[in-house]
Parts: sequence; C-alpha cells; structure tokens
Amino acid sequence: MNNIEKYLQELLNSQDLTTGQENMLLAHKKEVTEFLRAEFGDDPVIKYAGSHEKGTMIQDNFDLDIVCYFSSGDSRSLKDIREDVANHLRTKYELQSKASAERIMNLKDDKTPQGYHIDVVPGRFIEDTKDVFLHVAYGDKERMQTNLKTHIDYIVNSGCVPVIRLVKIWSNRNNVNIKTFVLELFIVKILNGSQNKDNLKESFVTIMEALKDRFESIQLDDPANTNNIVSRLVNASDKAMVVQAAKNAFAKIENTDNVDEWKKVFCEQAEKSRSNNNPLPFTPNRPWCI
Amino acid sequence: MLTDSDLDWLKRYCPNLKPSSDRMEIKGVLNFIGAYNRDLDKFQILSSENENIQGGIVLQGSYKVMIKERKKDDPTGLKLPGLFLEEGQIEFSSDRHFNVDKSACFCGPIEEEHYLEEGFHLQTFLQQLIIPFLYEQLYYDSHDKEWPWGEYGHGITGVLESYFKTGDLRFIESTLTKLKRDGKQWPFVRRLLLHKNYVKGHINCFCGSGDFIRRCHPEALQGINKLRNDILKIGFVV
Repeated sequence: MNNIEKYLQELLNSQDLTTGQENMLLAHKKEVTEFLRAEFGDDPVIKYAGSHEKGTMIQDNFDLDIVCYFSSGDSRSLKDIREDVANHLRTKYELQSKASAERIMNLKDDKTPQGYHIDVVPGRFIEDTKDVFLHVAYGDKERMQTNLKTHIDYIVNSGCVPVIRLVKIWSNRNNVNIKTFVLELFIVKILNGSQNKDNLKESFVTIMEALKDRFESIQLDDPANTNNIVSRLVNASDKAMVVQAAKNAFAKIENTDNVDEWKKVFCEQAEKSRSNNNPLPFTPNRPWCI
Repeated sequence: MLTDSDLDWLKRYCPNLKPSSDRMEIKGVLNFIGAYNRDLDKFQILSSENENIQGGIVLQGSYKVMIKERKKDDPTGLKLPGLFLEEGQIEFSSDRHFNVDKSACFCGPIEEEHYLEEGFHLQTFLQQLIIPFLYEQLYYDSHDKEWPWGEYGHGITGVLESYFKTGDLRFIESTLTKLKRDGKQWPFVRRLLLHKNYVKGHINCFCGSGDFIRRCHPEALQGINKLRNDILKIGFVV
C-alpha cells in the first residue's frame, strides 16, 4: 500500500462513528419509533434508512433517516398519512417539512454534529410489493413511487461505499453543496465496470475528473423507478459550484504522489483552517426592508 | 445564540468582534474584502489565504457593528439576529435597507427562513449575509447609488418578490403572516389571492408608485400568482 492509499484508508477509519454516537442514533431511533407507535400502533414499518443502512455515514457530518411505511390496506390518502404523522410529531418536536420528509430539528445532544437532524419519511406500501408511494409536498408530482431496499442494495452492492465516503468527506469539508443521493448515484454510475474500485486513490481521482467534466450533463435515474430523474434535483448554479470545486481538487492531485497535496484536498493541516474560514463563491441575497 | 464552536471560530477569524458574556450579543469592528462578479452573480470573501477565483469588483470595508439576538416577540417580526451599525457610517434609511429600529435588512423574508432551516450558524450568518450586505453599501456609495445584485422592494412588495424567487409550499403560512402585517394593504392582497383567475398586471403596484405592477415590480406580480397557485394546490385557508 503506497503512502496516499494508506492516508486515505486512515482518513476513512477516522470517520467511523464512535460507539457513543452509534448508541445515540439507536436511542434517537428508539425514542421516535416509540412515539410513533404510541399513536399509530404496530401497523407502520419503522426502520433506519439513508446512510446508516448504506454504510456511508461519516463522522464529520451525519444525520438520521427513519422511514414510517403504512400497510397497503391503509385507506387514508398519502397526504393524510403524511399530515397525521407530522401532526403527531409536532406535539413533541420542532418540525420542518421537506419534500417527502418531516424533519425533526431539536432532538440533539453533545455527540451530534452541526446541523444534525432526523428525517422521518412517511409512506404507504403498494400492494404485494416492497415498493412504496411517498407524498411529495412540492414539485410537479404529488406522489413518488420508490423502494428503500432497492436503494440500499444498489449502493451496498456497488462496491463503491469506501469511495462514496471519501467523496462525502471532501464535499463536506469544502462546503460543496450536493445532495448525498445524487452523489452516490453519480459515483456508482462513473465507477460501473471499474476493476479497481478498492483502489481509493485511483477511484477518487476518477470521480473528481468525472465531476468536473460530466456532472453538469449526466442523467441520473432513481434505481427504484427510472421515471424519477434524480439529477434534476440539482440546479445549474449548484452544479457549477460542484464542477469548480472538483476542478480545484483534480488540479491538486492529478499527477502527484505527494501526500501533502492530498491532505490539502481534504482540508487537513494548514488547509483545514483556510477552508473553514473561506467559503467558495456564492450567490448573494438581495436586501429588503420591512 | 452562540455555541462553543461559534465562539472558537469568532476568536480565531474575527478577533476584533467580541461576544458578550451571555452570548447574546457581539460588538466590535468587522473588516472584510469582498468581490462580486456580475456575470456569474457570485460573491466571494477574499483574504491573504483565499485568492480571487472568480474576478469581479473588489471592495474593502471596515465597520463598527453590533449583532444582537432578537426576542421572540420582536416588533419587526424578524428572527435572525439584528445587525446594527454605529451612527455616522451609513444613513439609516429604508432606501439603504435599514428597518425602523435601525437594524439592517440584509435578505428577503423567505431567504431568512431558508437560513434558519439548519439552525443558526454564526460563520454562515457573517459570511453569507452580513459581509455581503456591508459590501453592497460600499458599492452603492461608489457606483452612483446602484445595488450590485439588485434589491427587493420595501414591505409586502419585497415579501412577494422573495416568495417568487425562493418560496415554496413550506413557506405559505409564514409569508401570509408577513403580508398580514401590512394591515392597510392586506385586504386587497387577500382578495387577489382568493381571485378565481390569475392576477393580471394592470393593478396599481403595491409600492405606491401609481404605475402598473407588471411594469413597476413584475416579480411581485409573479410572486402573488405563485403564492395564489400554491395556496390552491394545498387548499390553505387564507
């Protein structure tokens, strides 16, 4: 193992959640599950989703995703299911409504990173399948068909989990605003067929090169429903910022075996403070007056 | 208001800004260098460690400021901490985007909600709202009273423009609350929101110019139609 591969592996190891953090997530899941069960009984399937199940969590920045899927025989509309879940959660927690999730903002403790939250995703199973319909609060369609297990299997079986975690560390530390699911699908698509996914250095360089050259034009489909074009969730301005950040990273690491250059890309040592203080260019807000 | 990590960051990168002992207030001198590239519509904070990667007009500023947590029942209805400047640096008028309590109005009402979504974060607040606002003031003075990236209209005109730019169904309730604060104009706005058809552009603009809204503040017109459409979508009671 060369020194860069060793550095990247150690970086990944340092991002494993501590036992205390794992226990905290478990306690939060238990609390939310029991609170939902108190209202809705044994019917809904309530379980972990997101990066916890995919194995892509990083210590720098993590949150908790929980699905709450009701049986296909539930006669309520998707909107009513969502409202019932939201109204109940609101009696105890501070909530924000996202497209398909109700976000709990105030269940935190000293082990949670900045911005930690818990997304509860209500849904209803489709008869005789593991697919679900989710209510979508805004956008063109009011519901979306998807499949949690397909998502998890797609990522877990891709062989790309270590490089996904590396790219997540990079994006988080460089303030690159990109939805994790989009990033995951992009990486799996780019590395599809690669024989060297275990080679962290080579895979990471490949992803940076592809982000700068292809991210703005690539189409990414939901593996559970090809009618959902996931890449459309990213606006042009955010795409441009990702491309710029990837260009900067690629220029540093393209042809070097100097581990210090790699550390700069991950904002370690001297570069860490720079990144913490200096954000990338952004679109400013217009002033107003009451 | 301020967490331990906020205080660490402040001490390290803005040593001239001092927090109060109860962590509800910050006072001192804020120095900055910023660049705005109009073609890209991007703003960047510059320093000796952060090169200008986008070009644009570079301005350097230094202001004596106080940043203060707002009470829950603050009469302005604003939620983000208030930015107050020491007298004599900038004229505190609505045209310069200062509220009646002399606090700076550095973003639209929906943008404020967006910033609060992930919880208050001092670094983001200073770098993405406060410093760009101060940069704008410098630009305004040095570029013939022009705002570099535009401005929202005052009062409900700006509320509707802000909803058009960045609003969605999540913000219907808070937007209506802000519109209702203008007791004089609210009954008319409510009638427009309940109108069976799209609002056309030949009504007088809310800003009081006497001109048609489609000519005067077209984004406010688009905002009211977007809000009306979103209210219909979810059957919200106005």
